Amino acid sequence: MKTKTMMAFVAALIATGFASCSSDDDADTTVVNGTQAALDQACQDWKTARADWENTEAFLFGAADVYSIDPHTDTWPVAANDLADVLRDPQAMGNLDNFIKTANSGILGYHGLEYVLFRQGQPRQVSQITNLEYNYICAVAKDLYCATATLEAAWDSKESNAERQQIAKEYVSSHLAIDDDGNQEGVLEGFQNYGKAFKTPGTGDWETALDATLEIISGCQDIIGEVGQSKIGLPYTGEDATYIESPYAYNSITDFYDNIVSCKNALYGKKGATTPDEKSLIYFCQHADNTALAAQAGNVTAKLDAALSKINGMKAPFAIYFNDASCKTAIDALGELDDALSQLAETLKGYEGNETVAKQCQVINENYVDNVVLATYRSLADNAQKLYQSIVNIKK
Amino acid sequence: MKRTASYYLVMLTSAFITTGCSSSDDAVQPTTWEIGQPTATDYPEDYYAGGLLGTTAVNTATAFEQPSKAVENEGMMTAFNEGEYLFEKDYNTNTDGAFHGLGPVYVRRGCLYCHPGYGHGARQTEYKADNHRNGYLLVIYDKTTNQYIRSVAGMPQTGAVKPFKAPIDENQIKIAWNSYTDEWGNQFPDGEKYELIYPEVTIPYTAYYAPVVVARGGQDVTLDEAQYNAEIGVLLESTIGIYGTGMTDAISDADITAQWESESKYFNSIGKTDALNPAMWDQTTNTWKSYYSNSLQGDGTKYVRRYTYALSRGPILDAAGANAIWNITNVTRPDRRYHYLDLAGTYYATQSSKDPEVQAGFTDYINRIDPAGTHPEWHTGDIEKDIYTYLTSRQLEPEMTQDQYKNLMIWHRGLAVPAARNTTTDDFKKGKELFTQIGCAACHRPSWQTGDDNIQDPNKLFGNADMPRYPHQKIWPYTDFVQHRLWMKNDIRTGWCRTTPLWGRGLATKTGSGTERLHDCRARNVMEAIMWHGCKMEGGQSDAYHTVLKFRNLTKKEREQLVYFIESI
Repeated sequence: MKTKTMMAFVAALIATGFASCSSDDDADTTVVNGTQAALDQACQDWKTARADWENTEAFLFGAADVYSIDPHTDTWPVAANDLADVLRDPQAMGNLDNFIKTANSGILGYHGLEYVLFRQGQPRQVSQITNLEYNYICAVAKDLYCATATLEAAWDSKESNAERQQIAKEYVSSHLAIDDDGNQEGVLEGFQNYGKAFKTPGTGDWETALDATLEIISGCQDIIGEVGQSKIGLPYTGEDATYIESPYAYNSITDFYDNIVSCKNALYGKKGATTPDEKSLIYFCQHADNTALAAQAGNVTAKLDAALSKINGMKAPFAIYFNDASCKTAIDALGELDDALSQLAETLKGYEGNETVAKQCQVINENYVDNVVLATYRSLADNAQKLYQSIVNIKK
Repeated sequence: MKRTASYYLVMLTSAFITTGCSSSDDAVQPTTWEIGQPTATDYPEDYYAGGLLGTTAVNTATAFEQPSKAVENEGMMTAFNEGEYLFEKDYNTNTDGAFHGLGPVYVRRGCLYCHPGYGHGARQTEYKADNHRNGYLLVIYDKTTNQYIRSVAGMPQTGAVKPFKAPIDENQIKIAWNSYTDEWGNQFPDGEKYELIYPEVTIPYTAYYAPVVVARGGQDVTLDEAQYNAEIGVLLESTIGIYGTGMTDAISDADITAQWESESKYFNSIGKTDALNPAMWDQTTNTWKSYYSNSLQGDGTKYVRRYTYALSRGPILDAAGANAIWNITNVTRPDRRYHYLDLAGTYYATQSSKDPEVQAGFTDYINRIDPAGTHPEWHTGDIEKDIYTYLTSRQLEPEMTQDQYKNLMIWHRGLAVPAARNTTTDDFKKGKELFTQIGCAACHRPSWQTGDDNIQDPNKLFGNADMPRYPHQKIWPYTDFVQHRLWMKNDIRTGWCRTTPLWGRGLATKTGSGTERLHDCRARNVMEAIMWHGCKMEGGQSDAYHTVLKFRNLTKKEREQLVYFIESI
């Protein structure tokens, strides 16, 4: 059913920012029959699932990269004009689930949802959400869940969740190759178990156990560099102030913090770790008989805590205070953490071929796969599933 | 993303340390580990693939993403990071803010689609602009002249921003992979077998938005469907990695010229007077026949050609990346304030201007692009004229700033090369020996010495102070920068292909790049790539034919050692 009252059109304009909507636009502008409480809940669940995602940023190598799940779920900024076009496209809206599998990632994922759910850091008014937007975010949230389930399955070396295993195989197949009619063209040859490969040197991308352990550090440095030098650094230095993620939810500083928590989990060997687990990289380095290595590991823990503390001390919201001196303090702390990890990695590299080190790297890697990567992806998939359900529930 | 300074060139890795090592068989988890001290290894010079200023020791999933030592030495890390963002992110159709300016037509939304992990594209079975890892460009050419058709871009677009339409409907493009049997029946003398495949690409006449036009005898000629089917060929060309292009840019023009001259004289001495591309080099006079120059943005200064398969480019600051950041996305910048459309520059605009559906959506579109009416010539009310004027405008507003472009080029010129792996192993050493012994090194020239590296910019925008530089470095790209012919089935357009650098390719799997080799990703591994160098049944004999004969006669173990070496460099 379509209505074209001027009031509804104005509501849609406010809601989606269709700067160019003409008055004869035939988009469905009816407002969803939902409750504010349900929308607020969806926004809360978005933040929870968002934190989970940021907690994965220390291990974006493997499935997240090769299956392009990172850009598919986390591209920013939102392509607002494209999103407006999709909402006005009956063919796309009539076949949303399939449309989204190969759609421009600029209108999908966390930031696509954020754009519809939030304004100025707050949940929007439910009276501003149109039915089209509702249908759209339901499909995007479902796709987001499937992406996260794929990550879980790809790192689940024991293949313990048949349902998510199936979702993963369908995701990899359909997102890589689907024609305009929604027919799958691809085959499943692309799906591989990164958890198994990481645990089993020589079977995948990692030739030796130490090689894989160094990847743990490299994954941390990847996101530490990005947070310090790009996400905070580019706006702060004035090099590029246009790039501020999660601006609608005012979630940037939380995102940065959660990114570094991801590193802490990876290095301490446990999701939610506060001290190094006995099977963690840091514990091993602290308890090996090389005093330099032990000192370097101690330095990493100190710099890790300092970086988290300095990010926590940044003036919020970042979208407004990206010039504040507290940003520079955080950038410097992150730089020191990066340097500390470089020193640790350098020393560790010198132990290629050392059997004791190889044996313990094996333990570290197995623990990392199960208790860091898989545990985080499992939580992410669970919370993405919950977010999907919350979004469905916006409508009475 | 990348590492910071201290990780580079300490290169203190040790291979076989056992000092003080003792491992307990006890089931009880030890609380301490005896691992002793690491020892340093003296690496051979070819470990430092990008020279001391251009090599990174990182060989993890981010191996192709690291800044060179020169970037850090010259205090350019912030600029490098900005450049990296501009490379990594998708461009969008927003009219302001980060990464805006995509379209009106585009080849891809961003760079990573074609350069996954910053490396080589991956083999595809369909052509979709939005497929990640699809590094293919369509090569659509007139088989009677070997020239690109005039009515689409040299790098044809299959994406468009509404109300505009894609120059080619990608849903109609088909890529078939056919089996190929070589003269030896795909088998080595010792019985080991291999398989070869090659692509056959078809684009039906109906997939083109504008009429298909070619240039013949100085005239534009429009082809009908029968002519199109008979006379137009379609091929694929894949991206290669970006890392190391700063170091190869630092080789002097004189040294590259000397390489051509040396090969020219050699081929002349053995009577092979058609060995070098006559469009590039005159073998009778041993001199260049064609230089790279840019008279549009620059002053027409002549430079030696060194980049792209077709050697279409000279210095890196006006080569593939400098061009792609503008014309793959159609994001304008101060020195490129116009759209990249068809080769002739008129056919797409004419077709669009007369298209009722484009006309119907144009007013909304142009009001969004130019809300203040800064360009009254796009708002005259004569829609057909307005569309044409807009599409062919040379005064578009810049969507990328000059500073952003500069930072992108700092990043581009600043990407380090991963250090070679396994350089101290016996297999590496033997493979290296074989590489030279059977003749691979004749074209895949292992090392070069860079020159003074005074920045050459055909656009005349940047100088020595603006870019990371690599003077007097010994680098190991494994290319002679010369074009040769392999005479493969469905070969590259013109048949001439610049020798591709081999450095870093062994890390393709780990970095998430395409692992396939050769210009269209037809070789799924190194072995297949080598065997595609041995063609002589497709109209000519490969320049590497005799090398492949020698490769065939190596033992299985030796062939494996050679492949191991190539995967390690």
